[in-house]
Parts: sequence; structure tokens; C-alpha cells
Amino acid sequence: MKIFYREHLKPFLKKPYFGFIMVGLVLLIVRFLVDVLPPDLYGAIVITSYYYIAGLGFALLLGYGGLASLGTGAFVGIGAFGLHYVYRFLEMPLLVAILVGIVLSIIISIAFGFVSLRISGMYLAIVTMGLSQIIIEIIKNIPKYASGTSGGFLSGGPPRPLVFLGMELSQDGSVVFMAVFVVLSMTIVHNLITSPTGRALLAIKNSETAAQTMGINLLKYRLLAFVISGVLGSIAGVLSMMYIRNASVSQIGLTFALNILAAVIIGGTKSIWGILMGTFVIFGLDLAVFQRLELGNLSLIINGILIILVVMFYPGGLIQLVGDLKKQFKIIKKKLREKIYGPE
Amino acid sequence: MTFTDIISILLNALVGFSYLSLATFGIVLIFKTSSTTNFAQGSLGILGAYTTSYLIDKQGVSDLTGLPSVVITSPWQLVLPMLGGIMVSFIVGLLIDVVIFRNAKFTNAATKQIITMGLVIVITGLIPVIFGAATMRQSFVFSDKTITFLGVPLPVHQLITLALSAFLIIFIFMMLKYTKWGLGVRAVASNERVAGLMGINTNRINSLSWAIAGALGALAAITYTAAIGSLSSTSMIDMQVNAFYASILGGFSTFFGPLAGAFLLTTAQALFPAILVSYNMAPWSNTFLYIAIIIAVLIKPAGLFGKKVIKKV
Repeated sequence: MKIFYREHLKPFLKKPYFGFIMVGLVLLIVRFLVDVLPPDLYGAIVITSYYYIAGLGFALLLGYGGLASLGTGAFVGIGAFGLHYVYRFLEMPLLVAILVGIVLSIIISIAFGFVSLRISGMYLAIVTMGLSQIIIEIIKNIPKYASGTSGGFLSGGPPRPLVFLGMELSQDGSVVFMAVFVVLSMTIVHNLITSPTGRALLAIKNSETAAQTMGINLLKYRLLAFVISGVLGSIAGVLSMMYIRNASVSQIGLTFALNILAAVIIGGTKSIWGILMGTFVIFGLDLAVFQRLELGNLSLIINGILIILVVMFYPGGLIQLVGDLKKQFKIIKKKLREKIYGPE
Repeated sequence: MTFTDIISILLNALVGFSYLSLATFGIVLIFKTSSTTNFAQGSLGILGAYTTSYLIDKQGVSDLTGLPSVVITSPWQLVLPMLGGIMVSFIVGLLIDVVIFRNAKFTNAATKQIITMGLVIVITGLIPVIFGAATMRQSFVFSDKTITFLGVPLPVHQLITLALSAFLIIFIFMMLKYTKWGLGVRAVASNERVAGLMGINTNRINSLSWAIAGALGALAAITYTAAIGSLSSTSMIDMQVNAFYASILGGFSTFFGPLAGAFLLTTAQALFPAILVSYNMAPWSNTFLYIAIIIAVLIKPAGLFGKKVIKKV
């Protein structure tokens, strides 16, 4: 049994893709446990799962590209409002509406990429903030979204239920979409960062000049990083729209971009699993844990202090904490063994 | 466009500049010394504004309703609470540097951004705990009177603010130019490590910069929330974002640049709607404003008045 585990099962379990599929499976299970789980916890898990996609895209920019962009909100907005507009007012099928959002976000992320070639550092953060503000202003001024809040699919005008392949999608039904997209984007990001592309991005992050001397095309990789993060961001927006059925421009502004930035930094900028933890700390912890303890306003304070402490003392992110714990665990195990069997 | 329109646009720009210059200066001061964009600048100011409002409210409670109702009779009733609010922001700014930023000096810029964001969350949570559950508080203007200048009506409150901020900004510029503290700030801004080696107490410079930035933010918040007539924990966000745009428009590398950027920004803010309204596109003025800023920054990446920094490899 032990040999079977070590030779066949363990290599399989240690494969990264196994973990990704497990995440998808857990999401599916959560979807069917909707009546059993407390609604706060369920909501926290779902919110974490779709913002995790945006976080993954952003990690590619920050951890591998070294570009501290504050424009994530714009892409989430494009996804959410694009889906709403194309699906409800142009009456296209769902998949077409999603595709339109993705195409739009590709075009706009290319613009972001070109801007990043000319501006860097803190300036880039503020300029991308301005760019996303432009997108938000445009969304606000499209007449059908009076003042930038979509009424969702339910109120105002003729409502159109979400239909996918002839089936009507309920709120919980869209969790299945989330599972699919989370697994897909985890796989894509994992493959990208373990391929020459990831190494090229890292080289650019460390020194643009040196990377260019080694024959790395700055334009190509910058644009690639921005496009992928933009597409993942808009998918997060689409999923949030499918789940919440409502969107508001006040939710995709600077605060949201900062939250995503915080999620990625708290989790660990270069680790897929770390970002999952970071996203949960930022978007889910308050909902799932603090509010159930009925701390009131203290929950905000605790959350803020937690963010500051993690960032100050674990610059590598929460994933570093996990690594440290593992190390400690191994040391304790070794000590125990020495105590029982005597020193080797 | 008539002469009165032009005067009105210019005066509006000046009035907007009086708030924005204070906020911008705080942000630049921290950017120069701690090399991070301080997202907590607005919240720091709001903390001071809440203190001021609270202190004024304490002065009198209406017998009839049990709610605070204050009749301002002497100017000291306003000035002392304002000083109190500014002091609170000053001290909190000092504490932020001493407790947090001194220990996070050598982390990267994005990490420092996150710390300031965490501060925003903490302060937003603290305000209801300290000042009671009401999310909105009353804010107080210096004077309700309005005078007419060249056919343009102007509230006296905004004129006083303008004078106050002009005085403060000139005062700080003099300090930067002629005092030892100013020399220290400029040295730390150009290179913190070398400044430390040259015998400058960089810790003291940094914490004083945070404190002064907090005080400036508080003054901006107190006067601005009084002018717009509402005070909540988010009312300085727009101002703060505009201050960032002003800073990159003028360029962070000088102290003068961001202020010039702030003036350009407020002028454009007053000018664009006035032009666009005749094309029936007034709601789009913000969009055009941001596009104009970004084009300007793309053409001159170091800002309109910035110097290009050449990196040695």
C-alpha cells in the first residue's frame, strides 16, 4: 500500500494540475451545498473565487512584469457592464456577450501596454488609475446606465433571464462557470509562468535594458502580460455580473484596484496558491469570519491592521508563512523522532 | 464667452486650487521623503475634520431636541477646534511614520502603497468608533456671507480659505528654502541613504514630513468639507485622486511642479464644462480632462515641470 502510494499516487497528487482541478471540484461541491453552508461563508467563497481570477491576471503584471498597475477595476467593469449591455440591450446570446467583453478588454489592455512602455514606477500606477477612471466615466455616460449603476437583469425595462444553451441560469448555476474559469485561468497562468514567457517577463522586471540586450522583445511581452491580465479581469467581471446580477461603478474604482493589489501582495506575488489566500483575506475574510463574530466596526480595523502586519513582516506574502510553518513542522517531527528513537 | 465668464472660471480655478494645493503638497512631501504614493492622505485629513466637527458640536447642545446646535459668536469658537483637528492629524501622521514606516523603510514601493491602503481601512473603521455611529457630521464654514467681485458671486468662506492656503504654501516654501529642516527634506528627497551618511537625522525629517502632510491634509479636509457642506469618511477621495493627477501632471521631481499641475488641473476643471456645455456634452468633461492629462503625461513622462532622471547602470 505504502509503495503504491509512493510510486503511483504521490507523483500524481504532486502535479500542479491536480491541485487546480481540486479547486474546481471544491467549488462545484460548494455549489451543491448551498442550503447547508451558512450564506455568509458561501458568499465569501464565491466572491473569492471570481476575484481570484482577476488577482491571477494581476499577479502576472505585478509579480512577473513588475508593473504596479491600478487599472484592474476598468477590466472588471468592462466585463460586467459589457455583459449586461450586450446581453440585455443588444439581445445577443450569452457566449457572444462574454466574447465581446473579452475583445473589448484586449483592445483596451493593449492601450495600457503601450502606456507602460513610456511610463514606469509610481507614475504608471497613477496613469493607469487615470486610464481606468476614463473607462469608468465612459461607462457612466452611456445613457442606458443612468449614473453608472446597472439595474441588473431584474429591474428596469424588459428583464431578460440568463440563458445558456437553452437552460436558464440561476445565481447558483453561475458557480459552475466559475469553477470552469478558475481551473482554466489557474492552468493558463501556471503554464505561462513556467514557460520561457514567464522567464522573459522576470528578466524584463529585473532590468529592461539587460533583457533587451539579451534579445527579449519588450513590446511583445509587456503587451502579452497586459492582455492576459485584462482578459482575466474582464472574465472576473463577467462572473461577478452573473452571480450578483448587479453592478455599480463605485465598486470598480480606485478602492477595488487597491484591493486587488493588496490581495496579490498579501498572498505572495509569485505564487498561484498564495494569491488564493490573499484574495480570501481581502474579499472573503471580513464576510466569512469577522461579521459572524459581530464585531461591528472593529472588523474593519482588524482587517486593516492585519493587512499592514502581513505586509510589514511577511514581505513574501502569506505563502511564505506557510513555508515557514512547514519548516517548523519538519523540525518538530525530526526532534520527536530523535526523542523516541534516540539520535541517529 | 464673455468677460464675466472668464473671470468666473479663473476665480473658480483659484478656489479649487486653494484646497487642492494643500492636499497635493502633503502627497508630494510624503512621496519625496518616503517614496510612496500616500493613499491615506485623504483619510488622515478626514480624521482631523471629524475632530474639528466634534469639538465644535461639544460646545452646545440644544435643550429642545438634545442634538448639538452651536451658534458661533466669536471666531475662537471655530479657530480653536480647527487647531485641535490639525493637531490630531499632525500627531497621527507622526505616529504613522514612527510606528509603521520607520520599520518598513526598505520594502518596495508597492508594499508601502498597501500599507497606506491598510491605514485607510483602519482610519475608516476608527472614525465611527471614536466619533459615534453617525456617518455624516455637520461641517462649519467660516462665514455664510457672499460678496460680489466683478459680477461674480464669491462665498467669503472660500476667500478666507484661499488666503489661508496661499499663506501656508508660501510659508512652507520659505521653510524648504531657508531652514535647516527644508535643507534636510531636500537632501532626503534626493537620496535618503546619502543624506543619512551626511549626518542628517533622516528619521526625524521623515516623521516631521508625515506630520506636516497630515496637518495640511486636515486643513484641506476641514475647509473643503465645509465648502461642500457634507463630511463623511469618503468625502476627500476625489480631492486625493485629483492631487495624484496634479502631481504627475507637474512632475514629482520638484516641489513647485505639482502645485503648478494642481493649478492647471483646477483651471481645466472649471474650463472644460464651460466649453463643452455649448456642445451639449457637459457630462463628458471629466473624460476629456483625464484624457488630456494622460496625453500630457505621455508626451512628457517626467511631468510638465519635471526633470528627467537618468539612471546609471
